[in-house]
This record gives sequence, structure tokens and C-alpha cells, in this order.
Amino acid sequence: MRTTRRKNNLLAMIWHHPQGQVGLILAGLLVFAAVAAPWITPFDPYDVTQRAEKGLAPGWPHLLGTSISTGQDIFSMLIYGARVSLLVGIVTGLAIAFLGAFMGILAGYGGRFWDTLIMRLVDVMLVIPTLPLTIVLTNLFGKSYGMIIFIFTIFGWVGLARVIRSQVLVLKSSNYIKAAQLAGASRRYIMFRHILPGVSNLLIMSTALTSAGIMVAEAGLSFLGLGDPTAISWGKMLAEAQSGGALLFGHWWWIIAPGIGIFLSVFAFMRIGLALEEVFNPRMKRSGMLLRLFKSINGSYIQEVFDAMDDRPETDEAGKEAAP
Amino acid sequence: MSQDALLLVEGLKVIFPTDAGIIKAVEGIDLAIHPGECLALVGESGCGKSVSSLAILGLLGTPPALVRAQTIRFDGQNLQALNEQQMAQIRGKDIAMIFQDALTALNPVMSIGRQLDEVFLKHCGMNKSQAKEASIEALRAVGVSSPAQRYRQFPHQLSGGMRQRVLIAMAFAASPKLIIADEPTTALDVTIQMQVLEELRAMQRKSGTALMLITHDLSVVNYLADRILVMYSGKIVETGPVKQILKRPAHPYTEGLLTSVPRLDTCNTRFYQIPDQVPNPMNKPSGCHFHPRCSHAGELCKQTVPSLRSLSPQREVRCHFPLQKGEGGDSQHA
Amino acid sequence: MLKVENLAISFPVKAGLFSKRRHIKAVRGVSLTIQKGQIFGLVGESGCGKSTLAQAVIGMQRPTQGQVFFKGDDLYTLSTPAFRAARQNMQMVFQDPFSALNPRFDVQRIIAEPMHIRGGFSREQMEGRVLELLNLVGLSPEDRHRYPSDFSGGQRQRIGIARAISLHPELLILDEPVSALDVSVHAQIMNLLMDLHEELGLTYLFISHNLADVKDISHSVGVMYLGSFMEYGPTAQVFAQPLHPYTHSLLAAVLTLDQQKEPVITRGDIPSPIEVPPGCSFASRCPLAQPKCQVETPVLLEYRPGQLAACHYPVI
Repeated sequence: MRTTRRKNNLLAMIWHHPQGQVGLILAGLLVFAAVAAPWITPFDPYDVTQRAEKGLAPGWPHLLGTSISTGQDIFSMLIYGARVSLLVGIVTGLAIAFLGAFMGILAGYGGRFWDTLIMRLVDVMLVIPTLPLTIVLTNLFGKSYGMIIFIFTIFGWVGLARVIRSQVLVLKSSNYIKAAQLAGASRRYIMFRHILPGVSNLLIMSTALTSAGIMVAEAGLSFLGLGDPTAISWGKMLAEAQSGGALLFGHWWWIIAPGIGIFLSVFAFMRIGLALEEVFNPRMKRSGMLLRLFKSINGSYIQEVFDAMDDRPETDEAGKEAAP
Repeated sequence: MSQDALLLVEGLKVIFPTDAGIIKAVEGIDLAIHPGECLALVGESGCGKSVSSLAILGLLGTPPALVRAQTIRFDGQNLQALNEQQMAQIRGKDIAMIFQDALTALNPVMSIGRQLDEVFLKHCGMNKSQAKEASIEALRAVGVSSPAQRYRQFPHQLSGGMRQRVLIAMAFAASPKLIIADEPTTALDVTIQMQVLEELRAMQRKSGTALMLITHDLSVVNYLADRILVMYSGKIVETGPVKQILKRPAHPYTEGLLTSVPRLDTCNTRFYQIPDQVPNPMNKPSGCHFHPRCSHAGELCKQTVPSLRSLSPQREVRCHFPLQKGEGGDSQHA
Repeated sequence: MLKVENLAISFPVKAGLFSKRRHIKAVRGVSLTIQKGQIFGLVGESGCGKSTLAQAVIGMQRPTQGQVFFKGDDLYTLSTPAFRAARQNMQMVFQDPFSALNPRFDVQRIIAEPMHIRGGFSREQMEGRVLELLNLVGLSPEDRHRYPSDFSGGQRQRIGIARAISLHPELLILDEPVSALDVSVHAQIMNLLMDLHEELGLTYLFISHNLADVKDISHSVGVMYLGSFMEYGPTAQVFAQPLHPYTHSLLAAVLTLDQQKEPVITRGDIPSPIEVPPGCSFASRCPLAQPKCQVETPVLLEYRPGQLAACHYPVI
């Protein structure tokens, strides 16, 4: 039996939301760029034979010039960099969603034991310094994006689990859950049929926002050199730009390009996340949207509506209310 | 009659435009409250009574609401001409509000003593020690036991009845000219409700403050109010002195409300019920809004909106076939 | 049908390191019997323990002491499958129409859920039953595809009622079913409940703080205060000639539309269930209290045939 109607229109609803639309378009472009990289880039930055003269300024055929250190085409690197960001961001976001939801629901609904256990775990994990640990782990087990995804997930589920748990606690006191229990529902039934759909809104929203945050974090780690040294990523581009002397020689395009890349991808996902938030909580509609709605209303129509409310004098025949 | 009114409202209209349509919350109501009078605004949920009070106080933002009124005059001042700062001055000093749910109306992290003090400090120009004294006295006046101790307590430490009393104390503190009470005792137990209402009535009579009581509970109206305005689906359908209307209602809706109240002194095997539901505020019936549920409705009711007509110098009704013909008259036939 | 014997439920209160362990004594020694087909009204103000009692009756709150017998079986000693079966034979209608229905489910799903959980029904059977129930509670067949947010409070309550009777339960527990509703809808739902009671031969445990409702719908009534019964007996008798001072004060405090009568005010606040005073729990507020009342706890005694009161000085 159908349980939700929202999922079907979710995409449509985000699309209609002005900010969501922007986010979706951007994200779509980025995904397209990432996937189609080998076909849409003029040069293959991995191909050593395609290196050009080093330190070229933007022009043709190198739209964004070439790097000072290796002579790779910056534009192509930019496109390829999207792959890493999006991959790490989205995959980690999803992984955190799963793990966080699982733990959160277990803690909230699974009973005192699980609740205490998981919350203690959360407390411990929040205290662990993530950056030094990341450095240690990548040095031990090798620098790869798989490692980074793993580490982000291990530390990232904690916040989500807390939030989900609170939501579960709220839902738990709902009477419809009591009614189901009365009818003899098993714990598992309630967890999957009632609780999980109940937190799905929160999950989807936080996945979008988490992904955005992860993308920034990943860029930071790559900048520090903790990512895969063989892959091209925006963070790494920034590191190379710095060490290659972009500032020194005034090659601002080398720095701005990956910066904009990071900015756009974060922006896109945050917009989607915020649009989701407003879609799920219509009451939080920002005044911007309402103002737009208000401005678009025909002023004279409003006046008609108001006038129709007045009492007519006794002798008047017609008295029908104006229909909306 | 409107000359010496403390609060005069004429032609108040409030709508809420939404994606799905326009919600017509208040459709042109007039009301007048005189000094020392208690006026009850009665109706069920969705009739627009709470929205009206918010609109009068300027607490409805635009968006989401659109408010129009011919007159909103308080104590000689045109409230519509004031800016937010000036309105804020009036609210709290000259007009106070008592809300339904004390727990959300009080600041949970401030002791109730301090919250009471604030009123005195802000609106009465007292200093801290004077305010504290006044607060403790105010608590005593509303019947709070051991006021000096309660002064230091926090809202969640008090029972529902106590909190409501604190709200009442806060409302009366600055000696306002008008108090608007929105369902002040609905959430309380029967015996506590009686205590609180008694305090409210005593304080109101003693201080001569005008009271606008918004409620759906007719028995509370009977206890507290002098005049009553019955609202239905955004319009006022009946006005008049409480005693007269409760004994001999003129509008079929008022009659329906009165008979569906379960009574202790009578024995029912079935409850009288008004059929159907309150109309959807976006899609109201044509003509008289009440006609689909009215047992006295005629053809005219479907087509034409009845105007508010005088039944007697003190009573008005909005009905083509009212049940009363004026003071001491017989029922009219449809 | 339902028999509760000497029920007591206490909740421990989290104590600090240095304070003594305290308990909230929500229910203190309550016994009641409901015959098949009867309607029992449970009246009391907030904090009297009526909701906790209801939770115990439906098997959601294990009593600290005492037993709950449903159709002769001690509920809390039943094996798991028997427990499940017993509970499916009793259902509950909740006070708040807004939290009683899952906003994500459509009406069809909500009403059919108990059947779905129980299992053993085909799709057609469930759909047919849903239509039948919708008709019974006064909703239209088209409504089954709508969502709770499309309905008003009264309509949601109808949906809740439909769900509750879907498995043909014999006992229905109604926890303040009309308290959150508007006046006109209030009456509609009360009528619906009375109709269903007649048509389906149900047994009701009707909990409310509204005396007039209880008076008109129930056959017997129990007046609760601070966890125990103050008075108990046939409704007509109790309301016409109350024995206990608390019942008197409840009745007198109800505002009526009668212009002549001034309500009688009962002073004082309801004591906390943690610090239950010794002796009669109502003594602190009772206008008829004597020294004995604060020392010795009165027991429910039959002062008139069928009518019991826990008072040393009942109003005869």
C-alpha cells in the first residue's frame, strides 16, 4: 500500500522552489561535468604527452591557462576535479545518512540499553580530534579517497544520530504508534513503517547539507596533501597553485578556478538542502517567497475581495459573494 | 453609542493570500468596548475571533496577512496611524493581553518575579525595589499563595492555575485600560478554572478595566461578560447583552451553540448537534454562511448575505429569519 | 468484562545524590468492574491518574501492584501470544486528534492498519471493511484516499474511532475523546459514540474531566482524585445525590448557563502526587474536613446500595 505521496513530487517541489531550482540546475551541471569529463575536456590532464608550455595565461586553446609547475591545462583539471568533490561529497553524505539513521533510530527506539550505549559512544567520538587522527590513519593505510570517505563517515554519523534520535523520541510519544502497538505491532514493524518514514524528511535534508559540508572538508584535506596524490582534485589544485607560485607570479586564475569550483558545488547542495527544508516545513517559508507571492497578486482583485465583504443595503438584489 | 467607546473598531477585514487561494478570516466586523465593560467575542475555532484581536493590536504581519479597517480607534487614538514602536508602547501599558497557554506565554528561563517586575519597570517608571514590592503585592492580589517565595520560582515549577494567575497579574500590573483575554481558562481543570475566573472578575470590577474575552465557552461568558458578540465564519452574526441573548437567542447559530452545550441539570439521551462542519475559510457557502447547517434556512438565505440589522437598541442580528423580533417578541416564522 | 483489582502504579522520581528516593504515586489502590455492554465513566481532574490507569488497562503500563483482569484473564500474566490477542480485543481512542493519526498515511492505510498488523486478511477484505467503517462513522468513501491534514479535528476523531473498531473489539477505552473538539463537533462525536455503542454492543471505559459528558453517556461512574476513587456508583445516583464532598465540589464548580446560580469555589491547589498527604487526600481542600480526616485514610464504603464513597463524613 502506498504510504507516502511526497516522494513522488519531491523533485517537482524542489524545482518549483526558486532557490531549489538554482541548486538543482547547478548540481546537475556539476554532475554532468564530472561524469562527462573525458569527453568535454579539451585536454586530458592525466596524459603527460598533452602537457603544454608551463605558466600560460588564459587564452586559446587553454581557456584558463596552464599550471606553472607542470603545464597542465587548468580548465581540464577543473572539470576533472569535480569528480572527486562530488564523489566524496555525495557518497559520504549517503553513508553518513545510513549510519546516522541506523544509530539514531536504534538509540531512540531500541531501548535503554542501546540508547545509553550509543549516546556514550557519541560523546566519546565527539572528543576525538579528527584531523590528527586523519593524518595518522592516512599515513598508516595509504592516502586514498576511499580512506577519506571512510574517515568522514566514521566521524560524521555522530551529529546526525543525535538529531535523528531526538526526532525519534518525539515520534515515539505519538498516539498512532501507541495505537499500532495496541493492535499488536512488533518493534520492527513500528521502526520500519512509522519511525523511518517519520525521520525521512530530516534525513534527506541533512544528506544534502552534509554533502555540502563534506565537500569543503575534502578540499581542505586534499589541500593538506592527505588525499590521493595521483588524482586531480580542487583542493590539490589549490595546494599546487600555492607551491607553484601562483601568487608570486600573479596567476590568479589558477587559484580562483578551483575556489569557484568548491564554492559552486557547496552552494548548489546547500540550496537544495534549504529548499528541502522549506518544502518540508511550509511554515518556515521565508518572507522573501511570501513577499513575492504578495507582489504578484493583483491589487484590484484584492480590493474586490475586500469590497465584497461589505453589507449590501437592503434594497440591493444581487448579493452573491465573489468567488476566489 | 460609539462616542464614548474605549475601543472602536469598524469594518475590520483580514485575509491571508496563499498559493491555494485566499483565506477570508475576518469579513468586516465592528465592535465597541466601553470603559469598565466586559465584552465577549464568541465563536468556534476558525471563526476569526483570535485573528481579529491580533489585527486590532497590530500583531499580524503583512505578509502573511492583509488587514483593512475603516476605523481602529483606542482611547481617541487612531491605532492604524501608529508605527510599530508606538504600538509597542500601547501594548503592555494601555492594552494588555492574556493568552491561553501560560507555559508558552511566559519566558521559561526567567523567574516569574522578574517577568512581573519588567512590566512595572517598563511601564510604570518604578525602580527595582519598588517593582519587586509591587510584584509581590500583585501576586498576592490574584490569590497566589506565599507570593514572596513564588516570586523567585520559574514557570515550570508552578501549576497551570498558578501560571494563569501570574499572567493575569502581569496583565493588570500596569493598570491598563483594556485587557484582551484569549481563552484564559480553557486549559484548566474545572475547580481551578473557577478560582481563576473569580479572580479575574474581581480584579476587573475593582480596577474598572475593560475586558475583551475571547472564548468558545458560553458558560464562561455567562459568568464574566456584559455584552456578547457571536462570530461565525468571519462575520458577526449576533450582538447584545449577555443575559438576553443566552435566554433568547436570535440567530440560529447561537441557538445551536446553546443547545449543544451539555448540561448537568438536564438529562439527554442524545446531544443536540449542529450538522456538518464549519465552512472552509477559502470556500465559503454563498449567501448566508450558515445556511447549509441551519434548520430555519429559506431560499433567500442561499442567495443573499444578510446584513447586520438592529433588533432593538441593544441587539443586532445577521439573519433573514431571526428567531426573535426584538425585546420580548415572539419567534418569527421562516 | 473488565475487572481491576487494587491497582497501584508508582513511578520513581530521579533523585539527586543526597535526597531520598521518591515516587510519584499515580494510582493508589483502585478497583473497578465493568460489565459487558456497559459504559463506565472515569472522571477526574488533571493529575488524578486516570490516564495512567487507562495505560495499565490496555497493557502498556505494568502495575506496581494489583491486577487487571480482562474477560477473566490476568492480563499481565498472559503468555505473549495470548497477551497480543487480548489486546487486539480492546482498543483505544485518544484525546488529541492530531497526534493520533500518522500524517504520512492515507485514511485507508490508517484504518486498515490494525487488520494489516494482525494479518490474515486479504486486500479485498480490508478494503471492504474500510468502506464499511467509513460509512459507520459518517465519512464518505472518497475520503479513504485523503490524508489526515485534509480533515478537521472532529473528522480525525471519526477516523480514529473507525480504526479502533476495525478489529471488532469488545472493549473500547476512550481517553478524553471529545475534550479537544469544538462545541458543535463535540456533540456530533458523542452521538456517534452512543450510536456505535448500541449498534455494535460495545463496552466503554469513558475517561473525561467533563462531567456533563460523563453524566449523559455512562451507566456507572468513578470519581478519581489523586490516584484513588473518592466515589463510585451508578451515574444517576452519584450525580443526583453525591456522597463525597469532592464530587459535590466538582458539580458545584461547573459553570452553567443558569443565570441564577453562582458557582461554589473550592480553594486550594491539587496536591502533588509525590507528596501525598496522610489521611484523606482531599482533606486539605475539603470544606467538611475534621481532624480525623488528616490522620486516617478513608476506605470506600457502601453508604447507599451500589454507591460507594471514601469519606469519613459523607454527605448523606
